[in-house]
Amino acid sequence: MSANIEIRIEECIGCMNCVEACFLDVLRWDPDEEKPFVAYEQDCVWCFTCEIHCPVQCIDVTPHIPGQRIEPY
Amino acid sequence: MYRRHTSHSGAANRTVLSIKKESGMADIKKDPATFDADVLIIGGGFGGLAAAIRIKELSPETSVLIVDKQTIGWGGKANKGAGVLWVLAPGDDIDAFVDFHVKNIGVYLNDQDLLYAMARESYRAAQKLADWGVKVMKSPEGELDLNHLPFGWSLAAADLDMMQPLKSKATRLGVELLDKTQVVDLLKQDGCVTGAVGFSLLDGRFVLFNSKATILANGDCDFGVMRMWANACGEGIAAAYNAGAEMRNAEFGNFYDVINKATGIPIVFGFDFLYNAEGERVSSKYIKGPQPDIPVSIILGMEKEVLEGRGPIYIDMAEFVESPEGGSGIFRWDRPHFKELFNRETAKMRKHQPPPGERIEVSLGFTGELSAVRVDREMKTTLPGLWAIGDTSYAGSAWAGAAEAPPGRLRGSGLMNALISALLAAPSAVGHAKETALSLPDDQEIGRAKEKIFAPLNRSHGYSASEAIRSIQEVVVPVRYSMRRNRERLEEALSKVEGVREKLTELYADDPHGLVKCHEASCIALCAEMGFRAALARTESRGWHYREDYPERDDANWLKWIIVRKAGDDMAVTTEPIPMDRYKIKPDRTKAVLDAVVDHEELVGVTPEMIDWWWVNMEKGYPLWEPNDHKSFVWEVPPPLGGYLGAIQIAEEKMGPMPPMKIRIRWDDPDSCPIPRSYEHAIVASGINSEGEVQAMILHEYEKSPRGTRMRSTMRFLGPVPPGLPEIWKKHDRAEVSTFPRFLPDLYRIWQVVKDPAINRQCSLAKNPRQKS
Repeated sequence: MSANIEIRIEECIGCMNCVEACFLDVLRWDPDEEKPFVAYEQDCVWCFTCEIHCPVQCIDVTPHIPGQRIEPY
Repeated sequence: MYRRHTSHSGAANRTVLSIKKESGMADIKKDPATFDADVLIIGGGFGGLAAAIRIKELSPETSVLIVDKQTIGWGGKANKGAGVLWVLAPGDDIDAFVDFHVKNIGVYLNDQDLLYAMARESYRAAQKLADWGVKVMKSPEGELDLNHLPFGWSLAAADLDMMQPLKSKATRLGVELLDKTQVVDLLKQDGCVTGAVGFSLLDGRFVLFNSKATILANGDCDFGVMRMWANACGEGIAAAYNAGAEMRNAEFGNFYDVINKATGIPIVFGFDFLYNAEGERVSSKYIKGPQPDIPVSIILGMEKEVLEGRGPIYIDMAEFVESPEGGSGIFRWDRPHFKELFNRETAKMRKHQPPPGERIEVSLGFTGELSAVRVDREMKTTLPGLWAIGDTSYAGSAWAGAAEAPPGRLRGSGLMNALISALLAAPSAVGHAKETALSLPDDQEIGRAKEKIFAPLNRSHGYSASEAIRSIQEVVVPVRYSMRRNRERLEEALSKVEGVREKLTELYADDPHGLVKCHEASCIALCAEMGFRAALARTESRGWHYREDYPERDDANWLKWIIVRKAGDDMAVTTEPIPMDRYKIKPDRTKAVLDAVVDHEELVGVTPEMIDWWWVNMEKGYPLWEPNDHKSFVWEVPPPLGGYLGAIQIAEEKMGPMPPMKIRIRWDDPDSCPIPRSYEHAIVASGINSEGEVQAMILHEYEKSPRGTRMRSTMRFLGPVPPGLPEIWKKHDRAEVSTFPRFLPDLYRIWQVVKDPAINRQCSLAKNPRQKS
């Protein structure tokens, strides 16, 4: 799993939707800048929820495919 | 940065934190780290929110606090799947459903009382969800818009924004929410659960909860393998186990599904459309008869194909997409949020897979879904003061029996189980809370809890959590350990898991996020051990549990549940007989033979010879034969010259509310058919699987009547009979035979100009009638 996450911070309006929507604690909030930041990118499972719920569409998640999946056979 | 909710309901005033920014920001360092609640709900997913809402509906004065390790309204699994809910619709035969489930899915390990309750409540529960503001799909008449499935149950659907209305409803009712807090352990006094302890992900502070009733709603263990379920690490299961609660059905936490090999994305219901590298259809090879969901046999079959050099396995996407299961049928509802997620994912995946319609390489995706906390019919665990709902206790409640859980071979039952278990737990937990006083832990107990929780933060090096998790995944993912089980491999798997568990005392973390990973690693390792120990104990094969060294079901010895509990530092595994005497459906009733008989209206203008001709020339007019029900036809084995025996057709037929199905039918000799016969002409249509085994047979018999032909059809079911199928088949059969007068005389006449018997086949099915018995 994991992904590259790009937040075009100059376009971000600080709504915090992405931080709230992330269910794996990948995105955190910077209270000084009042903007989100990518804190734990290695845990991103590219659910795209942050992308979808960004009102100005300033987030781009690029999945790492193929990931290091374990063979079932 | 934090929204502050202040509540004055219940025994104490509380300030509760949510991550969402709003006015009235609080300084987290000054906020209290102790929370009191009448009912504490651990896990703010679909089940947790549903339980909270129901409790407030029943008892507005009861204070309810939900705590979640991430953000309530976004976490959990409900909004990351297909959004479907299994239901039995009004008028569906509940007895028939339960009978089918117990015999074919749960294989007698069901708690039959709870299975009945689930079936009875399902429709009302889905309606309740709509009443709570969730966008449940409805017809223009305001009824649930159901998709009927072939085996006698249906799917309702909700859009994937379902968590937001639930969260809004809960907060409107006064439920308090605490985000970004990992609960680690339960607190007990005098054997009764009195609260929980954990820590904040945001600043690492210790958090104490004092509660009168505690509900675990934090999901099952998916071992961190499948990406959308990465958060389900079995924390609730581990907390219950460590507090001394019993576990049940832990051997059924080994779910696999077909996945896209490149992307890892599941292809739900894709199991019927698989081919090996040689182009051979492996689905037909390994799947016997129609299946309600992915069967064990295809998982073992896929592994076998690959190990014997016939891999990789592919799915024919063109065939899958056109099938009822492939998207346009089962998931047909218009749901904007579902569509948006699907489209976004599809767009991102485009460069990683072949163009639409081409074959895609598939693999097996292990999910696990260990959900073993034992609960009764009120979702009470074996510890007083503790309830467990949703995926935390799906298998442990035993309603699904010997099924991997969820989905438990009933798609949509994950959501429905979460909902109904929440509705069942709510009154019980409220009643308990009203009769119980808060108990506060002493300082010594708090000190011990803090030491245990924060130990990894005191180490700068040691064993990494990600390495521990990966090591467990390497044991649980392979089919040879989790599905094709035998004693030797299970012991090998256990030895590997024990190796990881021994090193857990060396886990280290840099920050609270890392501390969460350490806790997840511990829970995953515990659940893996639990699953393998239970699998080792069950020395038979049943339902979703397959033992290569014990491949048969053993009702003489194994009508038992396997119970796992903590015994000091050891994991104790015992068995408990299933109370079969009390249950309605018992194993010895499985061998019943059922006949469905249709005496048709007289077929005016049709002769028996025309019908004889029809059975061997069906490709010449198949769509004319009840056009609504018959979709496509091809001879796999054409009828022999001048005869009919052994011919095999692949007929795509639609029966009643069920989607079209491709059925393999062989013409057999009526003389070798056990169904009694009365008329002169006869043919037997045997429904067969890929190995030629007969699953059901139909005797069509007919003879000359004053105005044409009189005809009777009898279907004999040899195996499991899906609820309602006999009546559905009778209607279908009556409809198809009644169309003979409309097309058969003309079709028969037109073809008489073709004299080549290899093209215009000839066959007489007149035999001496046998006595009716």
